[in-house]
Amino acid sequence: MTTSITLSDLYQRQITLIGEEAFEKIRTSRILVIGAGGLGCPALQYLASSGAGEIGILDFDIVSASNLQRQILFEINDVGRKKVEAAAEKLKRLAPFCEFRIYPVRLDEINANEVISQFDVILDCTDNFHTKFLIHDTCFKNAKVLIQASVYQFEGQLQLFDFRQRLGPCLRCLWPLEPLDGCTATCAEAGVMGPLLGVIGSMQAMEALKLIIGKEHINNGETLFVDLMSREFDVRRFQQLKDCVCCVKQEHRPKEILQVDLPLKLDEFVIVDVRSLEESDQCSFIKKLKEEYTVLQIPLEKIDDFELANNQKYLTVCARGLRSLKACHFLRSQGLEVYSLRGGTQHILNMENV
Amino acid sequence: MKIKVRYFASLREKAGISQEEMTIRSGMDLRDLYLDLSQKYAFPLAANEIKYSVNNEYVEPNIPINENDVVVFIPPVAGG
Repeated sequence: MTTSITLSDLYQRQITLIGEEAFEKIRTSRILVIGAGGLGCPALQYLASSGAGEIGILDFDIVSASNLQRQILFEINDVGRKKVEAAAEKLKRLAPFCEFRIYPVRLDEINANEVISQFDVILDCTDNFHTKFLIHDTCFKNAKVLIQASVYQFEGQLQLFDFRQRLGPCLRCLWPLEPLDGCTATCAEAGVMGPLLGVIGSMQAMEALKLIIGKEHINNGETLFVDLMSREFDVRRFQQLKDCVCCVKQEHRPKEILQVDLPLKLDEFVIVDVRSLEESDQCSFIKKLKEEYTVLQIPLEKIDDFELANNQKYLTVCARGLRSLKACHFLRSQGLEVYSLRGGTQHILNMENV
Repeated sequence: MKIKVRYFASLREKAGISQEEMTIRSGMDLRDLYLDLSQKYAFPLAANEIKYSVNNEYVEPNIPINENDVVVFIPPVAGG
């Protein structure tokens, strides 16, 4: 039965409205959705069901029971599965003509360029400032279109940044420095209603589709505020910052990336613990890593005595991320590809205790 | 001088209201007003941690407020 269904059977209602030519633009679009959560699920569902050609889904997380209230691609049976796998499986049944590419990783300073550069339109459906700014800066650098959204309780905010000409205003015109994660409550802390995410995530998909077919959309320098409590939609405008580090003084950015969170593909790195042997031996996190990965122990003061191979990526590690950053600087000056673990092992151990 | 103030996200939650009309002394700027209201409602964010909007334009916090302005305090939001 399903094999006899054609593209035109599926998409006739849409083609009636926008025409064959516009539909062909959707069919050849490449869209990346970062975060397959509350915003990502409805966005993905509508992008796939609208006939997008290629959809990337990036999320490191697994489905948990508390997600189901709003993350509508998932079912009870998906609890414990990788979100990207459960989402792609469901979406393939909905959109057999769409290509799905899944990335079960956390977006970080190392992989952002590689993933984002492969798509034309990027939907930021993430839930933290650090990742949002990383996505934004990477989209600017790669001249991509970014459609960003955030929610809080009954409210949502949407922004669209068309960086194809590498012009602002950009997010850093409004927030030159990224707000610290923790300065505002997350959905887990403040609570959120499922339909809000349905509305805002669907609007991200709608903005993406309108942009792709050349219709009007949210512009650079506008924030669309949606308040589902008071039923109000407002656009507020902002100007380009004269000395914006991102879209004006492009030479000042992006800063060289030295510090990273714990990479998901740790096996691609040689870990270099730069603490003293005594200190390192007492660290339960490093002990655990040694069971699975290559860990070198080179105290910071001895780092210039060693010659490290340059066909390898390194991750320097210490307790708080300060000595490892110094080691990272030194090793980079030797021409090696090195990153320093942000916050050190203490940060990782604290996170595990949360 | 009468104005209207709207609160978004965590500030709305803290104030317990979405908006209110109030009378303020003339010459007051947005930052002064936010600091006054922060005392009243115990807002969790400092004056330099939020954005300010008047009549649907984002503006700097040192802009004087005019009669009948609609002032909005906008905290950063990241939920998704």
